[in-house]
Amino acid sequence: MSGAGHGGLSLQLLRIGRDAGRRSEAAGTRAAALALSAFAVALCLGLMAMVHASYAGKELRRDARTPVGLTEQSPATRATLWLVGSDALKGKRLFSVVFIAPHTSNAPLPPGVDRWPGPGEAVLSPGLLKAGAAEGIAGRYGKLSGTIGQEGLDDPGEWLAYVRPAKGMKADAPIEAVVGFGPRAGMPAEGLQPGMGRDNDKPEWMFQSLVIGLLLLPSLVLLFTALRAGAHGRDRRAALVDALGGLRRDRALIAVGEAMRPVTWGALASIPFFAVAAFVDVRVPFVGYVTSSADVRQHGWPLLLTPVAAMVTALALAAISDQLAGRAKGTRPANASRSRRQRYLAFLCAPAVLLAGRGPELAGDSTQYRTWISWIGLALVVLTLPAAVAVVVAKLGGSLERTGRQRGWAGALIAGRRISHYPAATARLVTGVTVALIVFMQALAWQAMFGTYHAKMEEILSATDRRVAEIGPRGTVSTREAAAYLESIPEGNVPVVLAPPRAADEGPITISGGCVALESLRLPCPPTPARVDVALDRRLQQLLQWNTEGGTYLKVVRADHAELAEQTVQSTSTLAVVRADGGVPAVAALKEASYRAYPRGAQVRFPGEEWLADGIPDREQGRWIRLFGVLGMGILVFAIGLGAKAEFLRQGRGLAPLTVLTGGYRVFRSSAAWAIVAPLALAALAGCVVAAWTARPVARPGMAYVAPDGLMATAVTVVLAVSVVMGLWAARIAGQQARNWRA
Amino acid sequence: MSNSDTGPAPDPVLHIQDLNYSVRDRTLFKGLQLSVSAGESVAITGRSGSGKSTLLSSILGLIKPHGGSVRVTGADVTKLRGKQLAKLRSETIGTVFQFGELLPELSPLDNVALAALLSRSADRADGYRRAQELLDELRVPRAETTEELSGGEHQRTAVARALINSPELILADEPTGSLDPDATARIAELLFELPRRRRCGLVLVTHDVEVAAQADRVLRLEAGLLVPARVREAVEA
Repeated sequence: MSGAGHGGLSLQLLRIGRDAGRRSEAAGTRAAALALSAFAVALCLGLMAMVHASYAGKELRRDARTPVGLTEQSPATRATLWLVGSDALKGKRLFSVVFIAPHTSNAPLPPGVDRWPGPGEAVLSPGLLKAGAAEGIAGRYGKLSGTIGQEGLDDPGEWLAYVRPAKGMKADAPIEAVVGFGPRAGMPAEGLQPGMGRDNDKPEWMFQSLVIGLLLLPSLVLLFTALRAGAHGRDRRAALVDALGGLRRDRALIAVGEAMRPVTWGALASIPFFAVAAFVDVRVPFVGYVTSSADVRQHGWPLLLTPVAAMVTALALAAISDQLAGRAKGTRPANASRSRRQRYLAFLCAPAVLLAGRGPELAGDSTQYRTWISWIGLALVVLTLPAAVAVVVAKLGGSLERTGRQRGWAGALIAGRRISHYPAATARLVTGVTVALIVFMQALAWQAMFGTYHAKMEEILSATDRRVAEIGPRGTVSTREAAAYLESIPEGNVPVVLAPPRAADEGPITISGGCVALESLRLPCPPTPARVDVALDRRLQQLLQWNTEGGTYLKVVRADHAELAEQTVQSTSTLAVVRADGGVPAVAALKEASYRAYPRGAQVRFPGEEWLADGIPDREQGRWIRLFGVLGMGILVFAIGLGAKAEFLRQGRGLAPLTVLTGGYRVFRSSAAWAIVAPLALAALAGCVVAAWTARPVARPGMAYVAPDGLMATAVTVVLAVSVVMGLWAARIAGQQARNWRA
Repeated sequence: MSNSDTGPAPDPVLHIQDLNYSVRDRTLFKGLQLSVSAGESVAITGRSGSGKSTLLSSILGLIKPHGGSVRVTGADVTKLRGKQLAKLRSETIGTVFQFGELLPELSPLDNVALAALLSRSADRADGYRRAQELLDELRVPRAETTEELSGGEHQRTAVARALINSPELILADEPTGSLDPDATARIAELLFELPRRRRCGLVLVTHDVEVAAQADRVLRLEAGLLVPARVREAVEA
């Protein structure tokens, strides 16, 4: 190597750092870990930019499609009749079905619809067409005349339908006349807005919090672990540079130079992912959400900065972690570093756990403040935990060393000595496991919070067997339309009509229907109305439970379709359909039939389904948590593995000379067991408690999350198994290095 | 640094006055005094744990004494902080550690040049050229990493690093502690030539009788004070 041509001091220090990075202990492991962690941080930052772009784009499109109502001041020269309804696919969330009809010539069309559908035609979103294909959604609302363009949708995957009724619409309440869409057309009427997104979507801050907590934080832990891989040699270098008269800046430059190459490669590797997201609408696996490339292009400009931001973050952390090594205290190599700062941080850990576990209670019922306090507490726990673990581990290491010496246990003596003198490595390992458990419990708690309501409703409604469908026509319908609907009911399905008592709480509840329907419900079919006192069929029980109040007895009335049609148009009655053979009614066909018979179709659902549907958006949001939680855990497990490998290499090198004193490798196994398996086993137990405690605040008001015992036992078992595997891995590496040392 | 042998006697390059320092219940220095002139070498001996290396750490400003002053070329190290202290360490003091303390991941040339880079002297851009000249002069072979060097070559590299900034004071902490007799003799000869050739002060901590005997003065650190000693006596103590 020539000294000629060397640049300024900074460049030379960067270059020295780069060369040091290539040749230092565990250099390959560290470089791989750094590249991967920079990649993970860049992805997380990019994801945050994409989330923001998605929310911003949605907001703009929602505003743009919000109708402007006809007022006295509005020019009435062009108007569209507008009514927002809803529908659902089987077991899925509700979506908007908007009935539209031109009120005037040149009536305005909603964004995303480029021409008026003909009477009896519908325009559906591509996402709805795809999701409802199995239910024949394309023909449910009439003839499909086209699809809604992306400019008219919340996101490319949104479910939405614009339906022009075959028989037209009248400008009577609740139907509104609208003169345009979006702020440019006038004052938008929020109440007429189509789509369920604004009600169902969680606020952006909550989503970003999930990304930060479940993905960015683990990525930063991975980054820090990668930076501290082989830290002992690096700390000695820092101390030497200090003794030679180097400044903090010099040390930082060397540290940055060492990390720069892998960090740059890692950060740049994220670019193709975002390039794809900028030009292609990507369906997120497991969640099913479709990202909008248009949003990414329009609002995602911070994406361009994310590789740079990830690099800056990683290099800044490299410089900071180097400064943490402390200054030289003498002319001999330093041993343990148990600084005062570390002890202070360790003492702060307990209040941090308390803040994370109980602090949110201070915020009362405010979900936002509860969440922020919880996250701040968690961040403090993660920051202070390594110091607390290091202090405890160093103390335990001393005890282990004494025990090993007294009892002649070589493995315990070696492990105790190493742990007490180099507690940081063990602390990193234990902290990684604990943070992984915290992420795991948080993900579970958040998902439990989102899914509790739906799960409870599923539990309640599972007994119904869902073998009866209620049909509720939208708006006022005529007897003729009702009769037409009853005639169009698919074969094998039979209608009954349930009528409440005439006087409040008194008199009979009447059930009317043909003999096939009544007998299917195990009711008699008398020629004249008759009171029945038989054990009720479960389907009938469900109908009565969800649709009637009071009533002293049940009266059965034999009725033909014409009579049933008369009863159906009364708003107090409930039309229900069962299958004659006791099976599940053809809900999709019943829905489709309703749009042919009634001007605005009908709600077709099983009793209580509306309560279940309310919880579906939360359940679906919970999928994000599971996805992020699993990814975050994966990142942390990788961080732990890489950090551990670097430490095992160092430990193995230190133990290698022992091979001349012993023919076997027992000492390597026993020292690995004491140095790795024992601390990790403790981490499994303590980590589960800390993780469960800090997950408590993640709850709906008055409903704390309690980690199930079985889950805790499983988590402990998994970590114990991992610790044994790691112990064996460490022993194997030590054995290999011993063999190499002898060779 | 002046290379002239003539003229008025210069101020001492190192002047320690009333130095006090203790660790827990152990007093290491109790009013310790030491003065080293340019061109002079001083060997310090003493029992293990008597505070010899701690004395060097005090001179480098790595630890802060509880009392007294440590003046290096007139500047009181105990009063310096941050950049001033770093500047003094890098430009005025050269240090040879017991095991060389070279960075194993760097080449010998990088190790030596690093010291030049860390000093803020005007000729730092020339650091690599000077580092190579010094290594050639000390007959250190070219290598990718310091792990390729023998013990003697390792220490000669450490000496080169100590000399790269033409320091006025050289501190050596057991520089021959890990070497065989031949290498010890060569390193000792090299070190004790420095004050004469470069007009710098040398403070050398050693247990080696033969090495200490080559110094202009031999002092023994005992009960927190430096006392003159005959070499054999001092080392055997």
